Amino acid sequence: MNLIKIKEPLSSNNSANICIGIDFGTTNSVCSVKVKNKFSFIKDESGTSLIPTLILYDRKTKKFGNQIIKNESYFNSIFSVKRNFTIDFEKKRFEDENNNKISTIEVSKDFFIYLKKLCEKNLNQNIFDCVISVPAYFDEKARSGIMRAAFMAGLRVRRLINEPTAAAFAYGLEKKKKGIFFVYDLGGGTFDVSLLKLSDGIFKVIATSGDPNLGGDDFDTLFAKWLVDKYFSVNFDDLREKEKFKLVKKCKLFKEKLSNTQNFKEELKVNDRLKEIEINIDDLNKSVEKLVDRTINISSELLTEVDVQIDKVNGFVLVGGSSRLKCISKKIKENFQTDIFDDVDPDLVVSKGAALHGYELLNGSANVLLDVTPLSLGIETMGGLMEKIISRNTPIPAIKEQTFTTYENGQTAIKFTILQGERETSVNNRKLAEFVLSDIQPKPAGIPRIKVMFSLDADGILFVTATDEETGVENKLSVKTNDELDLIEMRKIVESSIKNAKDDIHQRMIIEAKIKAQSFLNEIDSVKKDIELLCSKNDIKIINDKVALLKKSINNDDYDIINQRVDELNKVTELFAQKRIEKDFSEVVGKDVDEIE
Amino acid sequence: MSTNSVCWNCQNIIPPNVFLCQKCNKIQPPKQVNEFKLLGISEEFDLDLEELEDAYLKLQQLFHPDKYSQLSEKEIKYSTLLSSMINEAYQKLNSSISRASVLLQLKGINSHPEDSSFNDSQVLEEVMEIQNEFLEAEDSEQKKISIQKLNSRITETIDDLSISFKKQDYEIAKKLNIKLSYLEKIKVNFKKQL
Repeated sequence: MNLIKIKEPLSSNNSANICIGIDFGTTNSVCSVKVKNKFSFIKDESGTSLIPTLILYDRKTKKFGNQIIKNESYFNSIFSVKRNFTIDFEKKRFEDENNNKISTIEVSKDFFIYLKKLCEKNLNQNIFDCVISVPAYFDEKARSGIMRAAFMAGLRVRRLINEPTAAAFAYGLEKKKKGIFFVYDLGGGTFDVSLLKLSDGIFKVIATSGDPNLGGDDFDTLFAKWLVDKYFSVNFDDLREKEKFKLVKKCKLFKEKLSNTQNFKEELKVNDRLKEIEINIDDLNKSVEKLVDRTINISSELLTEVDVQIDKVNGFVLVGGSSRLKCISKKIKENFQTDIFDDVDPDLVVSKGAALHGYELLNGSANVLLDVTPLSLGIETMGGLMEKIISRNTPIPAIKEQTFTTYENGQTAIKFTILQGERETSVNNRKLAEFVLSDIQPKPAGIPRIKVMFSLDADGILFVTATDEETGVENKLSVKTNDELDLIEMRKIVESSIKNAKDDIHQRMIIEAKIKAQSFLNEIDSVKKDIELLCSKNDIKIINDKVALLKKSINNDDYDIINQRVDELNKVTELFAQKRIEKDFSEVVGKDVDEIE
Repeated sequence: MSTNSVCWNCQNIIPPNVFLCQKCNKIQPPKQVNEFKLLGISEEFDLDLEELEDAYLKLQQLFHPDKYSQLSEKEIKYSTLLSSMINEAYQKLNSSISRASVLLQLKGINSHPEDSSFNDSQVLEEVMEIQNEFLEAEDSEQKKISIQKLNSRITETIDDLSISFKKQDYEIAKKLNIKLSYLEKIKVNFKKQL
């Protein structure tokens, strides 16, 4: 008897070999893909590949990219969300369409979901795998933040690739370039430079540098300041926030128009005064000169640092929409007397490199991409100094170990503070995380040997392990804030949900429920001692039972049950939470104000 | 250290310094091995840096985690470890100072280029002299000249170091290596001040 064979519709199996390249930019984002030797850019509803990185939460709906450009609420949308990853992103909050407070990561997650859906529509199949490009000069927190956002959107991140490296990869493959190249990457919000050696199938980053908070956005602001001062004699900084914002966005459009023309007339309104003014290229060049000079300085510093003479460099590759400014190529020529390459569209080349790399990761290739870490990583030592463990421009992956010891007799715990940056003193570097290794055998000061291992993987994500060599007590940690899940845990959740999901929404519900549940369990675990102290025996038993039930439910993919168990655990821990607040309060009462942190 | 091991996948015998099973082609857990052996380079101070780079890149083409991203968690872990070891070995051998340290260690001589108990007055005086000359230089032209001088002093020291290794005079090599690391350090400082 023959069974009738039915072809499965849109299953996750037939998409196993497709990996999207995502350039998540400050101003614009681009997705592209290589399928069976054919490369293409993903187009949005309006048919364009350059998708403005805009998110609008408006009257119970979410809107993205070009859906917003002509919308009356354009100015209410979230601009440049990527910038928050390097500035203060743990504290910054936005409001979603239902007026809930959400984080930078959650806003980015929504944008990733939008991109994922666009790709699925373009390719007519489910998409899970991606390579995401990040600024080379992004620090640990920013990298892990981007990865979290993508995981929460149901994407399996196969690799984080540095933007200039991705661009060089695309150039090397497409234009068959060989030699030493300098990538000058000026995006909407970030500036990166990388020096690479390209040979047959090998793309090796020699060194990288940059400024994570310098980009086209800053050029727009300076141009706006200049015009307001010149034609209205008004101090830009005295204007209302909203007006400043609108002026900057308008000047961005002027700047873009000036790439095709020398001058034009346009109306501008400042403080309710409407004037027709002449916008010309000289004003633009003069207003941004300081920033262009800064990019040139960063470039020549990098060349000096690695001792590479400029005549050994085969050319500058221009990347990022903002590198289109004519005064930039002019300044590069003046300062470095070298060839300039911009023949792959500077707006699209990064995504292309990411997609080509993604294709090779899934399908195999003889090519190899070798990158470095942009910033030094280390540990705070006595006196607030930073002891570097992995120095900047070390090739990744990298594993380094160092041994530390105690400074007081009988000390049984050591607190480690992990830092990133180039300054000698720790306060000037970015603090990534803190952790405590306890249960050290009490010994005279200087005797215990605590081995600290820094492991930086090929995504540039750091994992730290501290081990007491005598007892073998170990503490592992990846960079995260207190209420976040470990990236390894998150990756596992995404993996399992991809295997078992019936469809896209189903998959995301599983991920969300599991992440929420796991975070809650971690939180309970961290206050275990307080629970034992503050609750009755019976209450402790009830809490432990509910914890066990929730743990069990996480192994399955029924998100309704997981959510239900979370609610139950929440209910039985309410009394404890109340008691804990009271306890904290009573500890504070009666102390001097100075003693309270 | 140089004993055989057994493939975790097919139980085939794996010789030392080999990281892929010759039978099933699976990546093996990294073993402790000295930097020269790892990169397959002969244990000498004089080496062709291009040859070293070639050896390094060939190994990364085999073991970089990008090549294992579709495989099991175990294999990804092994490749990350091995790729890190290859990176570190390359960096160590690529610089004269750390290459000399590795060699001295292999010869059983405890050498740390930043040895604080070092007090060879001749070497220290020489270094001081170069440093003062740079600080007293009045314009950037003079500063550049004193950097050039420093550079030729560095080249001389590397040549001397090479000779002492050939003569197997390791105590001299140790001293020269400390001198070299002093010179390199002031070079970094000079560059900052330019």
